[in-house]
Amino acid sequence: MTSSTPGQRAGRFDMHPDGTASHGSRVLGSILLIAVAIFLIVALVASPPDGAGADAMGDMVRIMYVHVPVAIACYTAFMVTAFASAMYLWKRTEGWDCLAAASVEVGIVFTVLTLATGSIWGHTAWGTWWEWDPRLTSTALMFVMYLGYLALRRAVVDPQSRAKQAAVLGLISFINVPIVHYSVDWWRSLHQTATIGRLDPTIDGLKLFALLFGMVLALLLYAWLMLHRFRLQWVETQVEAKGLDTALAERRAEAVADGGVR
Amino acid sequence: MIAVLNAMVLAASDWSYVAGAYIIVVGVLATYSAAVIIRGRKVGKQLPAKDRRWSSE
Repeated sequence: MTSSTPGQRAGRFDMHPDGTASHGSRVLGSILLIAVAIFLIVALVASPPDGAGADAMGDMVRIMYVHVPVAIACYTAFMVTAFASAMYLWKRTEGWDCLAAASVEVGIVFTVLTLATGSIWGHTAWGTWWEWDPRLTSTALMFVMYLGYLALRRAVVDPQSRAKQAAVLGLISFINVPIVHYSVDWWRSLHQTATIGRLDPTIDGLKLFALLFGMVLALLLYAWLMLHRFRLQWVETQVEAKGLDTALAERRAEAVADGGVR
Repeated sequence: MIAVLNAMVLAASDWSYVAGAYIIVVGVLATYSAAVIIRGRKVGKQLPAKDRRWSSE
Protein backbone atom coordinates (compact mmCIF):
# COMPACT_ATOMS: atom_id res chain seq x y z
CA MET A 1 0.00 0.00 0.00
CA THR A 2 1.46 3.37 -1.02
CA SER A 3 0.81 6.71 0.61
CA SER A 4 0.85 10.03 -1.24
CA THR A 5 2.29 13.33 -0.07
CA PRO A 6 -0.02 16.36 0.23
CA GLY A 7 1.58 17.83 -2.91
CA GLN A 8 0.94 14.68 -4.94
CA ARG A 9 -2.57 14.38 -3.57
CA ALA A 10 -3.44 17.96 -4.52
CA GLY A 11 -1.68 17.55 -7.86
CA ARG A 12 -4.23 15.02 -9.09
CA PHE A 13 -6.68 17.79 -9.95
CA ASP A 14 -4.59 20.84 -9.20
CA MET A 15 -4.99 22.54 -12.60
CA HIS A 16 -4.57 26.12 -11.37
CA PRO A 17 -1.93 26.24 -8.63
CA ASP A 18 -1.94 30.08 -8.74
CA GLY A 19 -5.53 30.30 -7.57
CA THR A 20 -7.30 30.29 -4.22
CA ALA A 21 -8.15 26.58 -4.23
CA SER A 22 -6.58 23.94 -2.01
CA HIS A 23 -7.13 20.20 -1.73
CA GLY A 24 -9.61 20.77 1.09
CA SER A 25 -11.61 23.44 -0.76
CA ARG A 26 -11.83 21.20 -3.85
CA VAL A 27 -13.13 18.28 -1.79
CA LEU A 28 -15.67 20.52 -0.05
CA GLY A 29 -16.69 22.04 -3.40
CA SER A 30 -17.25 18.59 -4.92
CA ILE A 31 -19.35 17.51 -1.92
CA LEU A 32 -21.36 20.74 -2.17
CA LEU A 33 -22.13 20.19 -5.87
CA ILE A 34 -23.61 16.77 -5.07
CA ALA A 35 -25.45 18.18 -2.03
CA VAL A 36 -26.98 20.99 -4.12
CA ALA A 37 -28.30 18.44 -6.64
CA ILE A 38 -29.83 16.35 -3.83
CA PHE A 39 -31.29 19.48 -2.22
CA LEU A 40 -32.98 20.53 -5.48
CA ILE A 41 -34.59 17.07 -5.74
CA VAL A 42 -35.77 17.17 -2.12
CA ALA A 43 -37.02 20.78 -2.28
CA LEU A 44 -38.65 20.73 -5.72
CA VAL A 45 -39.74 17.11 -6.20
CA ALA A 46 -39.79 14.98 -3.05
CA SER A 47 -41.31 17.41 -0.55
CA PRO A 48 -45.08 17.89 -0.79
CA PRO A 49 -46.83 21.24 -1.36
CA ASP A 50 -48.25 22.95 1.72
CA GLY A 51 -51.57 21.33 2.67
CA ALA A 52 -55.15 22.60 2.65
CA GLY A 53 -56.42 25.46 4.82
CA ALA A 54 -56.81 29.21 4.68
CA ASP A 55 -53.08 29.81 5.30
CA ALA A 56 -51.84 27.00 3.02
CA MET A 57 -49.01 28.12 0.76
CA GLY A 58 -49.23 25.30 -1.81
CA ASP A 59 -46.09 25.07 -3.95
CA MET A 60 -44.98 28.54 -2.83
CA VAL A 61 -43.71 26.92 0.38
CA ARG A 62 -40.72 25.76 -1.72
CA ILE A 63 -39.44 29.36 -1.90
CA MET A 64 -39.04 29.22 1.89
CA TYR A 65 -36.46 26.41 1.51
CA VAL A 66 -34.08 28.89 -0.15
CA HIS A 67 -35.26 32.21 1.33
CA VAL A 68 -34.72 31.28 5.00
CA PRO A 69 -31.31 29.58 4.44
CA VAL A 70 -29.84 32.51 2.47
CA ALA A 71 -31.11 34.91 5.17
CA ILE A 72 -29.36 32.82 7.86
CA ALA A 73 -26.17 32.77 5.78
CA CYS A 74 -26.23 36.58 5.51
CA TYR A 75 -26.71 36.94 9.31
CA THR A 76 -23.77 34.54 9.80
CA ALA A 77 -21.59 36.49 7.37
CA PHE A 78 -22.21 39.79 9.15
CA MET A 79 -21.69 38.14 12.55
CA VAL A 80 -18.28 36.90 11.35
CA THR A 81 -17.52 40.43 10.09
CA ALA A 82 -18.36 41.94 13.48
CA PHE A 83 -16.22 39.36 15.31
CA ALA A 84 -13.30 39.80 12.90
CA SER A 85 -13.61 43.60 13.15
CA ALA A 86 -13.45 43.44 16.96
CA MET A 87 -10.47 41.09 16.74
CA TYR A 88 -8.73 43.45 14.32
CA LEU A 89 -9.18 46.41 16.69
CA TRP A 90 -7.70 44.28 19.46
CA LYS A 91 -4.86 42.43 17.65
CA ARG A 92 -4.23 44.79 14.67
CA THR A 93 -3.28 41.89 12.37
CA GLU A 94 -4.19 41.96 8.68
CA GLY A 95 -5.68 38.45 8.76
CA TRP A 96 -8.67 39.68 10.81
CA ASP A 97 -9.13 42.64 8.45
CA CYS A 98 -9.10 40.27 5.45
CA LEU A 99 -11.65 38.01 7.14
CA ALA A 100 -14.00 40.94 7.88
CA ALA A 101 -13.76 42.33 4.34
CA ALA A 102 -14.24 38.92 2.70
CA SER A 103 -17.25 38.10 4.86
CA VAL A 104 -18.98 41.41 4.05
CA GLU A 105 -18.81 40.76 0.31
CA VAL A 106 -20.15 37.21 0.66
CA GLY A 107 -22.80 38.51 3.09
CA ILE A 108 -23.95 41.11 0.58
CA VAL A 109 -24.45 38.40 -2.05
CA PHE A 110 -26.62 36.44 0.40
CA THR A 111 -28.52 39.63 1.33
CA VAL A 112 -29.31 40.29 -2.34
CA LEU A 113 -30.65 36.73 -2.59
CA THR A 114 -32.69 37.20 0.60
CA LEU A 115 -34.28 40.37 -0.78
CA ALA A 116 -34.89 38.83 -4.23
CA THR A 117 -36.49 35.60 -2.98
CA GLY A 118 -38.46 37.55 -0.35
CA SER A 119 -39.74 39.89 -3.03
CA ILE A 120 -40.90 36.96 -5.20
CA TRP A 121 -42.59 35.46 -2.17
CA GLY A 122 -44.22 38.81 -1.32
CA HIS A 123 -45.63 39.23 -4.81
CA THR A 124 -47.72 36.09 -4.48
CA ALA A 125 -48.43 36.19 -0.74
CA TRP A 126 -49.10 39.94 -0.33
CA GLY A 127 -49.70 41.01 -3.94
CA THR A 128 -46.74 43.40 -4.03
CA TRP A 129 -43.04 43.11 -4.89
CA TRP A 130 -42.07 45.50 -2.11
CA GLU A 131 -43.65 46.86 1.07
CA TRP A 132 -42.12 49.31 3.56
CA ASP A 133 -42.59 46.73 6.27
CA PRO A 134 -40.20 46.69 9.30
CA ARG A 135 -38.45 43.44 8.24
CA LEU A 136 -38.04 44.48 4.60
CA THR A 137 -37.01 48.03 5.41
CA SER A 138 -34.43 47.01 8.02
CA THR A 139 -33.02 44.37 5.62
CA ALA A 140 -32.69 47.01 2.87
CA LEU A 141 -30.97 49.30 5.39
CA MET A 142 -28.58 46.48 6.36
CA PHE A 143 -27.78 45.95 2.67
CA VAL A 144 -27.02 49.67 2.16
CA MET A 145 -24.88 49.86 5.32
CA TYR A 146 -22.66 46.99 4.22
CA LEU A 147 -22.44 48.45 0.71
CA GLY A 148 -21.12 51.54 2.51
CA TYR A 149 -18.53 49.32 4.22
CA LEU A 150 -17.23 48.16 0.82
CA ALA A 151 -17.30 51.74 -0.49
CA LEU A 152 -15.24 52.87 2.51
CA ARG A 153 -12.63 50.20 1.81
CA ARG A 154 -12.28 51.46 -1.75
CA ALA A 155 -12.14 55.12 -0.69
CA VAL A 156 -9.33 54.97 1.90
CA VAL A 157 -5.85 54.44 0.40
CA ASP A 158 -3.70 53.88 3.50
CA PRO A 159 -4.07 50.15 4.40
CA GLN A 160 -3.87 50.60 8.19
CA SER A 161 -6.23 53.55 8.30
CA ARG A 162 -8.63 51.68 5.99
CA ALA A 163 -8.58 48.56 8.15
CA LYS A 164 -9.22 50.57 11.34
CA GLN A 165 -12.09 52.61 9.86
CA ALA A 166 -13.61 49.51 8.26
CA ALA A 167 -13.43 47.61 11.57
CA VAL A 168 -15.31 50.40 13.36
CA LEU A 169 -17.94 50.48 10.60
CA GLY A 170 -18.16 46.67 10.65
CA LEU A 171 -19.04 46.80 14.34
CA ILE A 172 -21.50 49.71 13.98
CA SER A 173 -23.27 48.06 11.02
CA PHE A 174 -23.81 44.87 13.01
CA ILE A 175 -26.16 46.73 15.39
CA ASN A 176 -28.79 46.51 12.64
CA VAL A 177 -28.58 42.70 12.29
CA PRO A 178 -30.51 41.79 15.49
CA ILE A 179 -32.97 44.58 14.64
CA VAL A 180 -33.63 42.87 11.28
CA HIS A 181 -34.10 39.50 12.97
CA TYR A 182 -36.40 40.66 15.77
CA SER A 183 -38.29 43.30 13.73
CA VAL A 184 -41.15 40.85 13.16
CA ASP A 185 -41.59 40.45 16.93
CA TRP A 186 -41.02 44.07 17.92
CA TRP A 187 -43.29 45.76 15.37
CA ARG A 188 -46.51 44.94 13.53
CA SER A 189 -45.25 43.34 10.36
CA LEU A 190 -46.63 41.73 7.20
CA HIS A 191 -43.72 39.31 7.37
CA GLN A 192 -44.42 36.07 9.21
CA THR A 193 -42.62 35.29 12.47
CA ALA A 194 -39.97 32.55 12.81
CA THR A 195 -41.04 29.20 11.33
CA ILE A 196 -38.76 26.84 13.23
CA GLY A 197 -37.20 29.10 15.84
CA ARG A 198 -39.52 27.76 18.54
CA LEU A 199 -40.40 24.47 20.22
CA ASP A 200 -43.51 23.97 18.07
CA PRO A 201 -42.46 24.54 14.44
CA THR A 202 -45.27 25.27 11.95
CA ILE A 203 -43.95 22.72 9.44
CA ASP A 204 -42.93 19.09 9.77
CA GLY A 205 -41.88 15.98 7.86
CA LEU A 206 -40.17 16.40 4.50
CA LYS A 207 -40.93 20.13 4.46
CA LEU A 208 -39.01 20.63 7.71
CA PHE A 209 -36.22 18.37 6.41
CA ALA A 210 -35.96 20.41 3.16
CA LEU A 211 -35.74 23.63 5.19
CA LEU A 212 -33.07 22.27 7.56
CA PHE A 213 -31.14 20.73 4.64
CA GLY A 214 -31.24 24.14 2.92
CA MET A 215 -29.89 25.84 6.06
CA VAL A 216 -26.96 23.42 6.43
CA LEU A 217 -26.22 23.73 2.71
CA ALA A 218 -26.29 27.54 2.80
CA LEU A 219 -23.88 27.60 5.75
CA LEU A 220 -21.52 25.15 4.01
CA LEU A 221 -21.72 27.24 0.83
CA TYR A 222 -20.87 30.30 2.91
CA ALA A 223 -17.87 28.45 4.39
CA TRP A 224 -16.67 27.33 0.94
CA LEU A 225 -17.10 30.81 -0.54
CA MET A 226 -15.24 32.25 2.44
CA LEU A 227 -12.29 29.90 1.90
CA HIS A 228 -11.86 31.34 -1.58
CA ARG A 229 -12.82 34.94 -0.83
CA PHE A 230 -10.59 35.16 2.25
CA ARG A 231 -7.60 33.84 0.28
CA LEU A 232 -8.35 36.29 -2.54
CA GLN A 233 -8.47 39.15 -0.01
CA TRP A 234 -5.18 37.94 1.50
CA VAL A 235 -3.48 37.79 -1.92
CA GLU A 236 -4.79 41.27 -2.83
CA THR A 237 -3.46 42.65 0.48
CA GLN A 238 -0.03 41.09 -0.09
CA VAL A 239 0.14 42.33 -3.70
CA GLU A 240 -0.87 45.82 -2.55
CA ALA A 241 1.80 45.79 0.18
CA LYS A 242 4.47 44.64 -2.30
CA GLY A 243 3.35 47.36 -4.72
CA LEU A 244 3.68 50.00 -2.00
CA ASP A 245 7.13 48.67 -1.02
CA THR A 246 8.27 48.78 -4.65
CA ALA A 247 6.92 52.33 -5.11
CA LEU A 248 8.70 53.46 -1.91
CA ALA A 249 11.98 51.83 -3.01
CA GLU A 250 11.72 53.53 -6.42
CA ARG A 251 10.98 56.91 -4.77
CA ARG A 252 14.02 56.50 -2.45
CA ALA A 253 16.22 55.55 -5.42
CA GLU A 254 14.99 58.66 -7.29
CA ALA A 255 15.70 60.83 -4.22
CA VAL A 256 19.23 59.39 -3.90
CA ALA A 257 19.84 59.95 -7.63
CA ASP A 258 18.57 63.56 -7.37
CA GLY A 259 20.87 64.15 -4.38
CA GLY A 260 23.82 62.75 -6.36
CA VAL A 261 23.15 65.13 -9.29
CA ARG A 262 23.08 68.17 -7.00
CA MET B 1 -64.29 21.86 -14.53
CA ILE B 2 -63.61 25.61 -14.28
CA ALA B 3 -62.47 25.12 -10.68
CA VAL B 4 -59.98 22.46 -11.80
CA LEU B 5 -58.72 24.73 -14.61
CA ASN B 6 -58.39 27.62 -12.15
CA ALA B 7 -56.40 25.41 -9.79
CA MET B 8 -54.11 24.30 -12.67
CA VAL B 9 -53.53 27.90 -13.79
CA LEU B 10 -52.75 28.92 -10.20
CA ALA B 11 -50.36 25.97 -9.77
CA ALA B 12 -48.58 26.83 -13.03
CA SER B 13 -48.32 30.44 -11.89
CA ASP B 14 -46.93 29.32 -8.49
CA TRP B 15 -44.33 27.14 -10.19
CA SER B 16 -43.11 30.03 -12.35
CA TYR B 17 -42.41 32.03 -9.17
CA VAL B 18 -40.75 29.02 -7.51
CA ALA B 19 -38.60 28.36 -10.60
CA GLY B 20 -37.68 32.06 -10.79
CA ALA B 21 -36.55 32.08 -7.14
CA TYR B 22 -34.41 28.94 -7.53
CA ILE B 23 -32.88 30.11 -10.83
CA ILE B 24 -31.91 33.43 -9.22
CA VAL B 25 -30.35 31.75 -6.15
CA VAL B 26 -28.42 29.09 -8.08
CA GLY B 27 -27.46 31.51 -10.86
CA VAL B 28 -26.19 34.28 -8.57
CA LEU B 29 -24.22 31.88 -6.34
CA ALA B 30 -22.66 30.10 -9.34
CA THR B 31 -21.75 33.40 -11.03
CA TYR B 32 -20.28 34.87 -7.85
CA SER B 33 -18.29 31.68 -7.12
CA ALA B 34 -16.85 31.67 -10.64
CA ALA B 35 -15.97 35.39 -10.39
CA VAL B 36 -14.12 34.87 -7.07
CA ILE B 37 -12.19 31.85 -8.40
CA ILE B 38 -11.22 33.64 -11.65
CA ARG B 39 -10.14 36.77 -9.72
CA GLY B 40 -8.09 34.54 -7.40
CA ARG B 41 -6.28 32.94 -10.34
CA LYS B 42 -5.51 36.32 -11.92
CA VAL B 43 -4.27 38.01 -8.75
CA GLY B 44 -2.56 34.86 -7.44
CA LYS B 45 -0.08 34.92 -10.33
CA GLN B 46 1.39 38.15 -8.92
CA LEU B 47 2.36 36.46 -5.66
CA PRO B 48 5.05 33.77 -5.22
CA ALA B 49 3.81 30.33 -4.13
CA LYS B 50 5.56 30.60 -0.73
CA ASP B 51 3.21 33.49 0.17
CA ARG B 52 0.15 31.38 -0.66
CA ARG B 53 0.14 29.07 2.35
CA TRP B 54 -2.72 26.94 1.01
CA SER B 55 -0.96 26.32 -2.34
CA SER B 56 0.34 22.78 -3.02
CA GLU B 57 3.27 24.09 -5.14
